[in-house]
Amino acid sequence: MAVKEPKELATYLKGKKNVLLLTGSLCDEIDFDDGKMLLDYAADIAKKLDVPVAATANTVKGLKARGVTNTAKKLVAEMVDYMRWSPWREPIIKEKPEVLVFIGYPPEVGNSLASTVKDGETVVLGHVYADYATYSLHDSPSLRHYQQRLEELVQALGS
Amino acid sequence: MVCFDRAWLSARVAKSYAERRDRTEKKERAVKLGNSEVDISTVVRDIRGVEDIVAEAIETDWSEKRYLRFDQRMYPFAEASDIAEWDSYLTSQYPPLYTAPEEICHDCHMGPCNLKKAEGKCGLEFEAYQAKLNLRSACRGCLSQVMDAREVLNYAIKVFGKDKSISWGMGQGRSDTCHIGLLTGLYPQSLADLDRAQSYAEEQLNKLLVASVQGTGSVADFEEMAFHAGSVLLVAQDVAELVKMNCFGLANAAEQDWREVTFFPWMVNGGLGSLEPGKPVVLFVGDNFLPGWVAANYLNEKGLTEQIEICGIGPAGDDIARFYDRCRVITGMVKASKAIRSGIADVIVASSSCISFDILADAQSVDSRLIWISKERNVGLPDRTDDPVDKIVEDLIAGAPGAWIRDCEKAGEVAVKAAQGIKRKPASGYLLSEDEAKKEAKKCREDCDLCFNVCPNSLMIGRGLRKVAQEGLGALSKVEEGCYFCGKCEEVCPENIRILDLIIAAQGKRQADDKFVMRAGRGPASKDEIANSQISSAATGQIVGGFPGVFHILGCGDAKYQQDISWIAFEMLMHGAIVFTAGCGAAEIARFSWGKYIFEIFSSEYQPRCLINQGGCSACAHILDQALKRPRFKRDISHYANYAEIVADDYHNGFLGPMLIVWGALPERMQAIVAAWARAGMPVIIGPSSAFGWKRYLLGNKWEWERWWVYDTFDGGKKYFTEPGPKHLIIPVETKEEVVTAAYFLVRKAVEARESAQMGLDAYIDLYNREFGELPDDWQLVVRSEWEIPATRKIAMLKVLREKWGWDIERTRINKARHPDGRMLLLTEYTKQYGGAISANVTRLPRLLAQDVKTFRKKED
Repeated sequence: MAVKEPKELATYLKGKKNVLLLTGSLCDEIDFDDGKMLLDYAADIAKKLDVPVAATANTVKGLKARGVTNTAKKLVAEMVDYMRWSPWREPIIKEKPEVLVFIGYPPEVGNSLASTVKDGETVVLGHVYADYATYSLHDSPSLRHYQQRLEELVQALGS
Repeated sequence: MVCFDRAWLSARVAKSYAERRDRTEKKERAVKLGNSEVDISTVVRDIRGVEDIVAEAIETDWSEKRYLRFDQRMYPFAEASDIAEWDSYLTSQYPPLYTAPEEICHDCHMGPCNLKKAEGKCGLEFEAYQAKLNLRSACRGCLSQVMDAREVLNYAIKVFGKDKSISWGMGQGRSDTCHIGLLTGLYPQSLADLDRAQSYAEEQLNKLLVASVQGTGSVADFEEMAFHAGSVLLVAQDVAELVKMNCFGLANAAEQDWREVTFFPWMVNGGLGSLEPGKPVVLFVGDNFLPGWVAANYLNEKGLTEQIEICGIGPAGDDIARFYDRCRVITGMVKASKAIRSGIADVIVASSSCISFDILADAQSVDSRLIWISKERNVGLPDRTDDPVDKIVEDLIAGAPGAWIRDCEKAGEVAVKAAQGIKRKPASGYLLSEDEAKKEAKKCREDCDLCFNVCPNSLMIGRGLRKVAQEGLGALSKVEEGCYFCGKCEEVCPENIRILDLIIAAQGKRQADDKFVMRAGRGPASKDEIANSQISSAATGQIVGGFPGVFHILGCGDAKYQQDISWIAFEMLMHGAIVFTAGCGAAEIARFSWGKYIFEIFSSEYQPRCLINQGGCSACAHILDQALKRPRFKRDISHYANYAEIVADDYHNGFLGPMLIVWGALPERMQAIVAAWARAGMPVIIGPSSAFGWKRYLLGNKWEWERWWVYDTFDGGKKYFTEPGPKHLIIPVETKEEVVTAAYFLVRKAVEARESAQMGLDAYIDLYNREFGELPDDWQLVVRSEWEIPATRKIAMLKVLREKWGWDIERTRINKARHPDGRMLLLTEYTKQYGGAISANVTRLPRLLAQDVKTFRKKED
């Protein structure tokens, strides 16, 4: 619903208490020109925000290899579905998340997942603007642009 | 084994008709059932017009014992609302999750209405509108196949007459469940019966379509109708299959001795590379196989089978392969455009199907002549239906782009004759050369990936193109494999690069290697085959621990990685499952080899570790029909017009509970097919990317333990809390690894027997650990005693139960278990309060509880 610059998004995310990061299949597939994978950025974001990661698709092994410890394998449809239920019982995070952050989902998939979440906010960190998300990055005309935005976000999240 | 010959069958049909007519005329109401007498008007809402069907079902298929203990009813020619008692259970247990909702309704002239702000002028609410849109998709998914069933049926009636007798095969009888019986109550024995069943399907689809456009109501109302669309599609598929097998000789395993189906039927070759160079090629595309039947007969009669290549894409190819073993199955419908653009065909004979694309433009781009046969629409060709065959052939040879021929006999003949005279370049002559490709690819900018942004499979097209400029077409192979030719990349390309031409040229590079062999569709299993396999092998296999489940695998071929569906089938088979497939998914599964092609590795009988291809798209019906036979076999539940009772009987699901995996879920037809499976209470996994474009999923919440329960059928309706099973009804997943792991959890049922539960848990843990390097978070939910924990993992798993979940474990025994509500309970108490329905006869519907014999029938009187 709104576009945010990477720095604004970093400020927004740092201000939230219960954030859950979800990492999708493209994390293992998108590799940038310098050899970095999208999964590297997902791991950086998880570590800098110090949030649990619902590792969907096949991302859990790679996240653990990158030093992310607070993570477990989940199915993304189950995770967005739990947002409809009270009380929250999914053990990956103690309370219902305020914000779900999606990274590594194809544009239609990320947008579709974000559209299901009513009781909470959503951020889609994709290469295409997601109009159902509460906040999203701009369209990136190229993978290079997308990488730049992710770099900016990670830097803005601080150490 | 039921054994009868065709003459006997015809006589039986005639006798049955006479009896039906007499009964209707005399308005007989009482039917003898053992020592009881049933007033047929008391078991249906309105007996008028269905006296024959109801009386026949009671006389021939009901059990007196069951009649005396249960509230037996029939719903002949069921409306969606007749099955609402079951459907509403499903939608309450698995509340629909709608994605990408549409806020504004434009459905009538009173609108538009912004439903996000307030209910519409017709009273429609926001969520209900999403359900209505889902119904619309399911209806659209049914349209072409219901129409095709009518086309095939009408042609058969024209050629063979309405009295032509039909059957499911020598090995099948009245007690064999099929969707026609389930929904209409009819036991189809002739083309006239099929006409009645098909009319029912058309009438129902019409009603559903009206509701999907003009209707108003609740979420539950629309979801019930969406389920019904699935069931209606399966009725039409049953009709089509019966006609195809009985009138046109398509393979039918139920006509074989059940001991002789291991390698039945024959193998066929497939793929673009399977065609012999230099021979004329006729390609059949779409739902309608009839011109192919005419063409194959013509070739056989004239001795031309070695001279002309017959090949098919989609249902037409799968159906032709069931009677003509020289048919080459090229690919699925989703990739039809791509295959046609490869230039393999001299003549294309095409009809409507699940996918729309500009087939004339595709054909013209490679000089293929197109014969369009669907009666309901044209694709821009002159109507030559009434012209002489020779004149049409002459024009096609002279260069006419094609002809609209609304006569399948004429179309088949024209195709074969024209193909022999048309002179075209070799297929490679229509493709870009390496130099042309490099030149075209050089236009791609370094700083642009707009094609990646719009690609539904997130293919890195731009990167591939930039490599082509340096390395040649081989660099585009990964992109080509995952591309199904939607063309969105070309639309956004700022440099107007001919991306599709480049992809086709890349396909041409590997065309010679695009080969596979697959077993042609075998049609339904016979009753004896299922009964014998369940008793002597599958059921025994469960007891000794060798059979974790039955998996149905379908797919439309739009998945990003072509080999994934084959890998999924292989994994399931190697873990001991039975895998059924049909439609375009069968050719996709067949495509990859592990030294041998998968259909060469696994045989084709109803046994563990067997891979069964049932046929084309309409043969999907056999898969579900077979899965629903068990309540009839084991519990004496008549299936005639008795949908809810058959599917709500959890006993059958507890032992061989099948589930459906759809890998490549693009066309809307698949939404209707999935609706049919879900309505039968069978979980469905869909994926990968295209599945997330669906508007509705049906998910359960495994952590909400209070929601998982069943009634004990014979215990006065006592409620038992159980493990979550099936955990979801329709769930999308992202990767093949998620499929195989999730499948072994989803296939579990609330009443799963201990041995099969252990087998399934072993496979679940094994695959999960292998693919994700950790234990799943939910396996403890399905442990009801230490006996269900696989022996090889017992120590490690008990340790997790103790340390992570706080269970009281002593050596290898569980003393106390933690109930999902947090209480620690002695194992005996735990089993009573959670998971106590193991192997019990259970149901979810209060109407289906056994009644006290005396009071029940007395109450009725």
